[in-house]
Amino acid sequence: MSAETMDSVFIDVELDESAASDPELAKKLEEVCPVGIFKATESGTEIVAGQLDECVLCNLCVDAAPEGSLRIVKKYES
Amino acid sequence: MSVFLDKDTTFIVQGITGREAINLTKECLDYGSRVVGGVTPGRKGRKVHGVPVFDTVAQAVENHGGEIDGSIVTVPPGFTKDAVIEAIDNGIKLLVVVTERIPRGDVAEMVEFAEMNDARIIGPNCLGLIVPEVCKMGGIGGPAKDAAKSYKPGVVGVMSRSGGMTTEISSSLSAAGLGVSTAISIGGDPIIGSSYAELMPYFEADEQTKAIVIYSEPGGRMEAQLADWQKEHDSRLPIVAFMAGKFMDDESMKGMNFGHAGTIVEGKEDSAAEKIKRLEAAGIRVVERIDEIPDVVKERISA
Repeated sequence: MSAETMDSVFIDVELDESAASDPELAKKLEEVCPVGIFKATESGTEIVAGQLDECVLCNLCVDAAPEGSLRIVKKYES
Repeated sequence: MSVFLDKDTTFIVQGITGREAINLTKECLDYGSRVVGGVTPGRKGRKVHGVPVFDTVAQAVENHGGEIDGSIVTVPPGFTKDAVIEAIDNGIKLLVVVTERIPRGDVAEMVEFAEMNDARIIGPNCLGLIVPEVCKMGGIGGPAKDAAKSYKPGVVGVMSRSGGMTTEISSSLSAAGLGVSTAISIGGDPIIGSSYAELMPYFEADEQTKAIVIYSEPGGRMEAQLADWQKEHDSRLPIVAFMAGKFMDDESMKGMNFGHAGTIVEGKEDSAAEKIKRLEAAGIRVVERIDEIPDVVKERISA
């Protein structure tokens, strides 16, 4: 199983469909994420599964996206 | 005054029977720190440099007969989260987590658990903290006689992502007669319990501290957070930053890892040049050489 197809164990990212299809937001997310979780494509934002476990919980993506449209889902107990 | 530690601070060492833990226990005892117990499951009844070993934190607390202030956590990565939670569950409020390579989810979980329980984690992947001639909690500064040479009591608070550089900077401040109020090795991992910005209020409240020096590296957002904090709070403490790894901004060095896990540069905000720009915009003076630090600190204190 490659890193790209492996399920993350640390966090997941949920992005609302309308936000995910916004190419401008996609560029912004790609720019702000320090660990490359977001990739900007012509159709919008692609989440790079292999990078999810590199998240440092900086919340820059949450701040960059329209309020409530992007959520970090923690897979650990809190 | 000082930050977090005083002469009465008591702490235990979790994982005390490991090689590194045995060494740092001796270093702390020789420095005069109050190591009141150690924990290694299955080793109850032993002693490490005279310190009694217990199977659990609860037993150590019971033997001490009252609350214990802190714990140095040196257990293997897979057990660190449980060790930290066990310590916090038993009333311990200051955790120095020495262990590195702890799974990221475990670190996030234990940092959140500490926050929920009003406890503070220093590290992971750190050497601890020291108040010169008062208390040393962790391997910071090395053996007591070496720590005594590098750390003289004084007015400068030191925070560093590198344990070794904490001592290097403190040594230069001590040699220049400025001395150190409290020095904290905050850890070099991508997620840590206490960032520069989170520790600033403690130094701000410490009357002994007249200035702050930080050691910084490429990678991560801590400098941006500190710059934001400084802009927002207009601290009474002048801050001087030494930024290592400027060479990594060179195109030919792209993708190189500076050393600590937290220094992997991915975003533009992570580069040394960008960090210097942000720090200076917040009024934080950035120096290029360690030997410049004492003079700049003196200049800023008297300004």
